[in-house]
Amino acid sequence: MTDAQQTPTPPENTESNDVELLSERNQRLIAFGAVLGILMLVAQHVLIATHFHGWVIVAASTVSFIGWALFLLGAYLNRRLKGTPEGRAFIEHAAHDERIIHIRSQSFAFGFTAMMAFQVLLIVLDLVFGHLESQLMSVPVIAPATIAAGITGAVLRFQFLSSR
Amino acid sequence: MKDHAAHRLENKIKVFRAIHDLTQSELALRVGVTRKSVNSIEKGHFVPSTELALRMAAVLECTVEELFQLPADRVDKS
Repeated sequence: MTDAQQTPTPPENTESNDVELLSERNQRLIAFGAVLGILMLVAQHVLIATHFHGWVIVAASTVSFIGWALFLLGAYLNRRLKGTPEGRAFIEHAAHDERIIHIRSQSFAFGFTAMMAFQVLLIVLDLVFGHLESQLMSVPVIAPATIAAGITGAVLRFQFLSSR
Repeated sequence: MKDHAAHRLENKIKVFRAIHDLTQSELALRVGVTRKSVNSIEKGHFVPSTELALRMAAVLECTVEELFQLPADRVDKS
């Protein structure tokens, strides 16, 4: 008898069911939709602040809407998934999973760190380059950009950690 | 942080799963976590809490020490 026949083969490691795959897809739609939506929103503010007009702003607005549409689609599909017995069981099961709770708290902390780092970066840029672009350093640009940095950081961190 | 420490913790979950003919999903269901969490623990990306380690050991009918080990270079012999 060969070694392969004698050694028990460990059960498959990569099996995943439909509910898990659907939940992950919805999560990706929500995450990347939110990131796309908010980054394009910042782009809109930057373009307005720098006096861009016309198709560039229309393009940024369109992409931003597509992002928010993906976000809403993900949320809707997740709600529908939760409406099925298997989906509800999976989502409630995942809500108490210690790894997911740990990942959420880490992502939340990372988002705040990203916001803080972005603020520090702005201060450094302002100190080094002075008031070169005072329009870009205005509150209507900096406020959404800081929030976008936090959301993007948290979402990307969550996606990275939960994909491992 | 847990994630960094995880790289320095060895485990034999896969071996014990094979002995008991359990898939990751089945083990996950019995210990009350998701399949991805079992996969993540098995690959060493995540260190479980003491409670979860004890539950896993109970399901796999072994001790926590048999299931999880510190690598030899990290064992303090003093």
